[in-house]
Amino acid sequence: MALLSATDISKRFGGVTALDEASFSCEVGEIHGLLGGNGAGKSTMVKVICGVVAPDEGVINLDNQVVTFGSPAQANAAGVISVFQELSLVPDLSIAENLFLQREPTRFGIIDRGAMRRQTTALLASLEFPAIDPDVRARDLPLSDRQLVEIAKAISRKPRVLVLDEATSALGAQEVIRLFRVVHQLKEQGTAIIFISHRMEEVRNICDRATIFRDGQTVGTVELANTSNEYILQMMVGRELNEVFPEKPAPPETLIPALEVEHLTWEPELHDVSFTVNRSEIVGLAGLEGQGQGELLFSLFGVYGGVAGTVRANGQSVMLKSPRSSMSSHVALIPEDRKTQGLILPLTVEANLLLPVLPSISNLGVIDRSKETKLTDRMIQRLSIKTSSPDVPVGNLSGGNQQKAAIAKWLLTDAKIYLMYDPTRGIDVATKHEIYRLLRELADSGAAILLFSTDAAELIGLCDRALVMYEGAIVRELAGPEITRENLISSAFGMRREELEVAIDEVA
Amino acid sequence: MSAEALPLQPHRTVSKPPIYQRFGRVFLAYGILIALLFVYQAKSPHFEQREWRSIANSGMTLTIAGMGQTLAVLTGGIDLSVGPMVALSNCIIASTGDEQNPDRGLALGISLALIVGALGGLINGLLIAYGRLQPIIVTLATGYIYGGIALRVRPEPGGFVPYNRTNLLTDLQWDKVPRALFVLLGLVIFWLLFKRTRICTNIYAIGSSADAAYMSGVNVIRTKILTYTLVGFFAALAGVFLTAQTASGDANAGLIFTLNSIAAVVIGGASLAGGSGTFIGTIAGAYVLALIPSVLYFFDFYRQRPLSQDLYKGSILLAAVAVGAIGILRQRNRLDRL
Repeated sequence: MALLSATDISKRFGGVTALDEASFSCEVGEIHGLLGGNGAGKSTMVKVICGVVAPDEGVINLDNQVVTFGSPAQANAAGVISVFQELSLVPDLSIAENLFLQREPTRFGIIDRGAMRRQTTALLASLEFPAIDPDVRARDLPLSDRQLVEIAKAISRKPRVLVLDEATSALGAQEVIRLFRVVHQLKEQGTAIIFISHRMEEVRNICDRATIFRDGQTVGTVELANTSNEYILQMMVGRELNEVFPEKPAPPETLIPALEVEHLTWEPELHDVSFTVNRSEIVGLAGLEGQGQGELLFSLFGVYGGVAGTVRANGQSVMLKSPRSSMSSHVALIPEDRKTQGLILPLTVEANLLLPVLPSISNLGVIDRSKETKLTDRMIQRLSIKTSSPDVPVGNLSGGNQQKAAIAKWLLTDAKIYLMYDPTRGIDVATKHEIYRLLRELADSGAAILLFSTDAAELIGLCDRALVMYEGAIVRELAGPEITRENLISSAFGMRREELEVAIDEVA
Repeated sequence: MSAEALPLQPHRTVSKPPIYQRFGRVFLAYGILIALLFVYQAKSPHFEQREWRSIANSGMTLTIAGMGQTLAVLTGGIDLSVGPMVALSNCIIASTGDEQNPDRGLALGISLALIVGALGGLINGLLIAYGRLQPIIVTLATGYIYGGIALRVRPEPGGFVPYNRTNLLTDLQWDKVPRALFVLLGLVIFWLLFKRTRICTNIYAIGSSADAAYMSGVNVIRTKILTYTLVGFFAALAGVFLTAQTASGDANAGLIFTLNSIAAVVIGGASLAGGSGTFIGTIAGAYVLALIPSVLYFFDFYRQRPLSQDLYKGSILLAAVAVGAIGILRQRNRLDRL
C-alpha cells in the first residue's frame, strides 16, 4: 500500500523546468531511494513533498488522501518530516533548544529546560548516537555532529514519512553506520523512508527500491536487488559511462617536491604532521571525517593562528599568516563549504571567478573589461560551466556548476599547489567525472594536488598516494596499488588490518 | 558493507564552553560599569543615597528602551523609531495631564501611551514582516512619523505631570533604596521568564538563522511582528519613566534614545547580526552610557571644555566597544576574527 505518492508533479522556476510530470510512490516500511544528478529534480521533489515549494501541477497523496502542504510546519504536522540538505539547525540555539524548537516542554508557558535537557540526552541515547552535550550551541559542533542532531530532530518528531535528503553527505563512515541502524529500526516500525544520497553504495546498502530522475522527469523505479549499478548509472546519465576515473600516469622518474610539510602542529587538532606532495601528483587525504583533514588544509592556507612547523612551497618557505600570503606562495584552497567559503553566492559568476585575480587584470584599480570578459569566457568554456551568462549570480547555478566555478576561480591564479576539501561532495556523477579529468589535467601540467575525500572510490581511482589521518596525525601512507578499500578502512579506524578482519568475522 | 559490519569508535565529544567565554562580553560590560561606579564614588564629594537615586534614575529610561532594542537586535533587525516613540509617549502623558483630576489624567495618559507604543511597534512589524522591507529603513521612516506626531501633540515643551505620582518611580524607598531599582528588578524578572518562553526562543532562532527557523516550523512573520510590537511597547514604557523623571513633555527629549539604545545593546554584548545577546548585558550597557557624562563631569578637563564633551563621550564609547572585541583577536581560526 502506498503511504505517500507524488503523481505528475511539475514545477517551473522562471524559465527553468525543475520537475516535469515526475511521479513516484513509497510504501509503508519501505526505504525508497531517489537517484539522479544535480538538477535532475530530486531536491525539488523533496521540497514539494515537504511543503517548502508548491508544485505548479500534480498531486501528493498521503494515505490515499490528497494533501497540500503550504509550509514545512503543515507537512510536519501530517507526519512528513525531512532532514534537509541545507542544515536546518539554528546556530545560536543549543542542541536541546534546536531539537525541541516549537515543541518545547513548557509549564505555564515557561520552557522546562531541565526536562528538555533530559529528553535530549535520552533521545540521543535511544538512537545510539554519541552523547552530545545538550547545552552546546549548534555552531560549536563539527558538521558531522550537527548532521546527526538534525537527523535526531527529524526522528524525534515521529515521522510517518522520513525524508533523508543528502543526510549522509556530511557524515563519516562511522556515523553513516549509526544512522543506518536507526533507519532500519524505523523501517521495521512501518515508517516510509525516502533516501537521497550521491553515494551509490549507500543507496544500494539500505534502499529497497529507487526512482531515477533525469532532467526533471522520473525515468523509472527499480528494485535495487536485481538491478546493476551500470544500468542505474545509464538511467541517470542517459548514456553509457565508461571509465569514471582518468587513467593514472606512471610515476615520473624524478620527483620534484612542490609542497613540503614538516612537523606541522596545531594543538589539539593536529599533531606533528609531515609529508610531501610532489609536482604532477594527486595526493589524497583519507580517514574518517573530522580527523584533522580540514584543519590541515586550512592551516596550510594560513587560516589559523598559532600553527607550528615548517611548510615549503616549491622550495620557498610559506608564511602561514593569511590566505593572501599563502596565495602569494602559489597555494590555492577549494574549501569544504562552497556556499559560504568557496563562493560569494549573490555575486555574478564573473565576479566570483575573477575575485582572486583582480589586481592582475586592473590598471590603477580600474578593472580591464575586455580582459575580464576574456578570462571569464575562457574558464566557463574550459570547465563547461553551465550558466546562461557570466552575469548570473553564481548562487543560481546547480551545485555541480557552483563547484566548477569554485575551482575555476583558482585556475586563473598562478597557483601550483591545490588544496581541496571534498571537491565532489554533493555533485552528480557526470560532473564528478569532469572534475576528475580536470584534476588529472592540472596534475599533468605540473600542479600538485592535495585533496581530502570522503569517498573511498575517489581516493582509489584518482589519487597517486593517500595519507590516512586519524586523530590529527597521519597514521599511514598508501602508494599506488596499496590504496584499497580494505587498507583505507582499516587505517581510517586506527586499526591494524588483522583487527578489522576479526571484527568482520565476528559479525559474519 | 552492511549496517552492522563495522565496529563503532568512541565519539569525540564537544562540551559546552565555560561561562566566562559564553558571557564574556556581558561580564566585560559589568566590569566597565563597576569601574565607572568606582571612579564616580571616589570623585563625588557627597556620595550617599541621593547619588544612588540619581544614578539609578539616569540609566532607567535607556534600560527600558534597551529592553525593546535588545529584542529587535536579537532578531537581526534594528529599531530606529525607539527614540521618537519614547518622545511620543512622553508627550502623550504630559498632555493628558489634568490638574483637577491628576490621577485620572495620568492613568489615561499612561494607558494611551502604552497602547500607542504597541500600535506603532505593530505597524513597524507589519511593514517589516509582510512588506519584506529592511527594518532600518522602515523604522527610520516610521520614526520620523512618530516624532512628527509627538510634535503635533506637544509643539513646545510643557504639559502637566503630577509630582506626587512621579516620585513613585523616581524617589527613594524607605529613604534608602532608589525605586528605579524595583523597576529594574521587575524588568529582570520579566526577562528571565520571557527568555524561557517559546516566543523568545523563536526570536533568537530567526535572528540566528531565519531559514533554519522556518524549516523548523517557526512562524517567522508572526515572530517579527510580535517582536517589533514589544519594542514599541517598551519604548512607550521608557517614555513613562522619562516623564516621571522630567515631569514634563518634550517632543525632542526622547530622540537620543534611538542610537543610545543601540549602543547599550552592543556594549552589553549582543551581536548586531542577531541571534546572540541578552537584556542582562543591555542593562550594563545602558548604565555605562548614562554614567559616562556624570563621571566625566568630575574631571576638570571635561568641565572646562563643554564643547568637547561629545568628543570624550565618543572616545569612551569606542574604547568600551573595542575592549569587548579584543577577545576576537585571540581566536585561533582567523575566519572567526573577520
